[in-house]
Amino acid sequence: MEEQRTRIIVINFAPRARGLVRALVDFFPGDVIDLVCTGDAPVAAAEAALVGIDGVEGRYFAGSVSQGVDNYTALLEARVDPADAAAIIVLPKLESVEVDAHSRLTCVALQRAIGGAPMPTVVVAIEDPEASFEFSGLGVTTIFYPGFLRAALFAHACVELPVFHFILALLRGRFRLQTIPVSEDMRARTFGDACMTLERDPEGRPLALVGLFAADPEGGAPVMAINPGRRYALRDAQSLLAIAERRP
Amino acid sequence: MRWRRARPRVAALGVGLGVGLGLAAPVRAEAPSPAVAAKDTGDVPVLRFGAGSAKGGFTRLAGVLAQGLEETGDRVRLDVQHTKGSCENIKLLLTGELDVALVQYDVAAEAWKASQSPPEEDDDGDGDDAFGGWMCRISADMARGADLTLIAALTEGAVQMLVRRPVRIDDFEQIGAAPVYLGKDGSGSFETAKVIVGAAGKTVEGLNLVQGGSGDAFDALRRQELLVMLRTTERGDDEIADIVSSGLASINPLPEDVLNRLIDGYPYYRICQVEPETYPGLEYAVPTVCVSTVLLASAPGDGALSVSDAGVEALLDAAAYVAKDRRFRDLQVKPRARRFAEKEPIPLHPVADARESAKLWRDVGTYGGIGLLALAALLLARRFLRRRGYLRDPLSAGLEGHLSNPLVPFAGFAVIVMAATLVVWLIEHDSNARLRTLDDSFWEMNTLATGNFSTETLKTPSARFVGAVATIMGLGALAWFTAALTNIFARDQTRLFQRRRDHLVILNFREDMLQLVRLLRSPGPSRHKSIHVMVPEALPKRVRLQLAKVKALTIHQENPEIPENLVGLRLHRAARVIVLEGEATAEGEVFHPLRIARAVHQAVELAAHGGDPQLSPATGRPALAGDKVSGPSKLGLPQTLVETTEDDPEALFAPFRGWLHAINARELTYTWLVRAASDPLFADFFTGVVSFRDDNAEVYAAKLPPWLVGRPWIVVRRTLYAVEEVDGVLPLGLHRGDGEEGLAINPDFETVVQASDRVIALAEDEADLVRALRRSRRVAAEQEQRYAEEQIAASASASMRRSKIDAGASASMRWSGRRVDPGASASTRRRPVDRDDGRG
Repeated sequence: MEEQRTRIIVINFAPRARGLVRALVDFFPGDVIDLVCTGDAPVAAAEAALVGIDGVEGRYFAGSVSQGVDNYTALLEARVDPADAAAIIVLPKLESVEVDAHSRLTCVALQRAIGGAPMPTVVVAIEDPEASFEFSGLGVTTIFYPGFLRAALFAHACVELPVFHFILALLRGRFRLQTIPVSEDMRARTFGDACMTLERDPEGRPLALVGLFAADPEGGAPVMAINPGRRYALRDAQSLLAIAERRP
Repeated sequence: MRWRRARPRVAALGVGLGVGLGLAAPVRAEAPSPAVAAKDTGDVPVLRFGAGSAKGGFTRLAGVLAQGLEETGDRVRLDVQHTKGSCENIKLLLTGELDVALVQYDVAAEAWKASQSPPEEDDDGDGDDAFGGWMCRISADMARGADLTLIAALTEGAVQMLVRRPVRIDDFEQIGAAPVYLGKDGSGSFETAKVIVGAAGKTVEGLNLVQGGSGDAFDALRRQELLVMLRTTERGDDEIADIVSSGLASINPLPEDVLNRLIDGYPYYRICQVEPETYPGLEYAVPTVCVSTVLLASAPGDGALSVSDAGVEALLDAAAYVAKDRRFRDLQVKPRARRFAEKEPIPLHPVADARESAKLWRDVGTYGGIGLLALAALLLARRFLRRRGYLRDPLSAGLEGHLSNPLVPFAGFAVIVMAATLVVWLIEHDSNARLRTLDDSFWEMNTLATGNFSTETLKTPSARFVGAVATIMGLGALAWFTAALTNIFARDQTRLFQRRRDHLVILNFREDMLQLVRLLRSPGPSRHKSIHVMVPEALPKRVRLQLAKVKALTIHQENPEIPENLVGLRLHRAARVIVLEGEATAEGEVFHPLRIARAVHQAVELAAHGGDPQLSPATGRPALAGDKVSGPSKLGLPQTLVETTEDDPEALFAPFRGWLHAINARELTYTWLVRAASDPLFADFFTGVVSFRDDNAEVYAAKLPPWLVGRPWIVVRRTLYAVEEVDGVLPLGLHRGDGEEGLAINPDFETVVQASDRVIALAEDEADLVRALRRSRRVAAEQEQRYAEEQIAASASASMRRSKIDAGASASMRWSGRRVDPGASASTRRRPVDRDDGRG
């Protein structure tokens, strides 16, 4: 059986981010992860952080947008080939005076390096939540603020421990989300009707609807609406969103 | 002025001649009155006494006084002379034809005022200056004929306006040409009525006056030929009572503007009221004016008084005797020397003056003594109560304590209002129609003291000054009262904000966890919980300032690794304790979560044992961390969340398992990044679920109501979908047991819900989920019925497919459709479908 290869790029990698590599291994068990990292950390230390982990073929290239957007774009084009990646993770460069501005310039370089090719999934971790809007139009798929995640976890733990455990399980990938197309006969009905009707997946396993994707009135990508309410009409819904336990 | 010249001599004589003997003869010898001398009979002097008409009230009063004189020693006798009333009496006094007379005080005061006016020459020599414009047409020359002196006010009459029913007079203009009776010409009652009509802006000439005596007037009123009758007489007069009780007439109040104008122009009256129930059917007090009948003497001609000091003594004794004698109660005699009119210009007779002064001092002594006794009693009671421990030492409360006690300004406000009420009433009750009674004064002062000062309420400068002081002090007291109350509420609020029960404790706080505080304060179940944050010394000031702005958050700057520092946080009562990963302090010290967790454990033990650490029975030393806390207090350990790092092996916190949850936040961050990178759908959903931002997108857990316990999950799930009253509750699964392992998201539909399970659902807030569960009873029954029917149908279908299989071996099951005991096992809740039940 041919092994599955997943190409992931991590920008601003540093040895302290070794946990990210382990998380990749945990999330893609059995896959070979072609991990390409760039950063300003000492090469030896960074490479040391990438070796010795089963399932990871890591490469590290020294360089960041600190050396100039054009220079970094050239590095990406020459050595990294971001257009070919399944996903790109931009970590904050903590040593930078303005961390999020550094990440933004990194995204500019990425966009230039990818050119007209489709953008892969780009996830950017930021330090200041107020800076999130600065990434608009740079092809970023998701902005992530680690401080918010920590705060949300603790906050949920303060509310209800079962909820906290649910959030942890969700985060650790115990549940899968799936989209279900809205059939024509379902369009005349409501979200509540859909909940009462769609109880099992095609394999007969229970599933629970948690939301839907509705058409964006401004013509953009469909908008996710979590739990829109029982009376929500499905005529404009593009697909339903369901959660189910990930089972082997 | 003759009286003023003569007064020292008369006073000296009065003292020198021995008052106790009661003999006026030496005075009379030195300053004999021709009239008295002429009438002397034997040793008892006789005074020419002006009364009124033979059947009038003055004559009766004179008779009673004469009787009183006789019964109090017969030192003076009265030669009662019938006159036409006050007007004739004053004239006879001025001309020296009477020694003493009963005169209505307004008439007397007008005569005295006339005597004070500058003399005018009779230019044309026609003698018309003999009649002036003063009451009773007394001229200034006539008034200067004698000096009047007041012996005492004896009775008080009230002006009572009788109006034929059902007419009510609010304005004298309403009288028009209707017949009116004001009194008999020459009587004080008539003179009083004239000035009242004048105060209303009218003249008696413009009225349709009915002449004659009062008896005729009452008859006319009974015949309904009279519209209005003004009568000055004592309150409770029999004739007025008769006509009021007959329903022919009622007593109307004098209009307020008339009263005020009257008092302003003629301050010889006083504002008073006819009290309720004075007459049959009189339910409300009727404002009016009162005027006193006074005993007047004169000093005609040479300035010598017409009555001796001994005579005055005898008259005053007789008046006091009559006032006390029950036989004469109907006359309502109440001798007074002062305070019977708004202004009392006529000088008081020296003997009466001396008596008044003596009475004043007696009163001062009496009331002062009573006050001192009351004060002494209070002090003794205070001392007694303090010794018994019922009262605290005021010094222990401190000034600040008194200032913050709202009862102090409240009592101050009450004192201000009461004092102002009394003072203003004393000043103005005779002259201000709006302050007739203490009750009126009290409400007016309340109005003033609450900041509604008006110059229209009070008339005199002194009363206005008191009113202004009451306003200022009242406003101050109210502001103080408000501030004290606000202070109490603020303290309560602070206490509430700092409460240490079901609270959240964050130890070793750092800057990036401001987001956590924001989330805890966002709408949700933790919003109203107080938060206690223990910050390291190195936390920047700007972060502290941000924390200080958060409602119900208390900042503690302590070392969290020292258990004693945590005891005050009452961690055993905390809803959650969060221990964050440490940041280096100014000294480079890092508080480690493990050490803090130990401190939490020991702090709870300390709290459980009143500050002493629990000793292990085995070692005799403080119990080891991780031991279960036990003891009489039964205090438990709080659910504690500890932020760990990759460097902290999981086993590090193993001794604390059960109450401590280690969270490797950095690891979870990387997990999130990887998941988001591989599944953008997840990123959106996860962010929506954890951010407390979107409607209905929050996850909550709740206990199931009894009617859902024991049912299969499919029924519970459908029930929550179908509850009409609450929109937007999406059931996800169950949590049974501890930790992540206890999660059952989308469990099998046949899973039977246990009493200890908690349902996990998406909802707008926790209250929505709880409400949906509470209102699910009927829907649950419906859904159970539906599920039972589905089961029957499925069973029937299976039976048909396997018709050749023995019915007894069928695995088809049917839901019983009945309520099952929560504790019963799943197997006992199902019974096999009988193939012969008619459905097969």
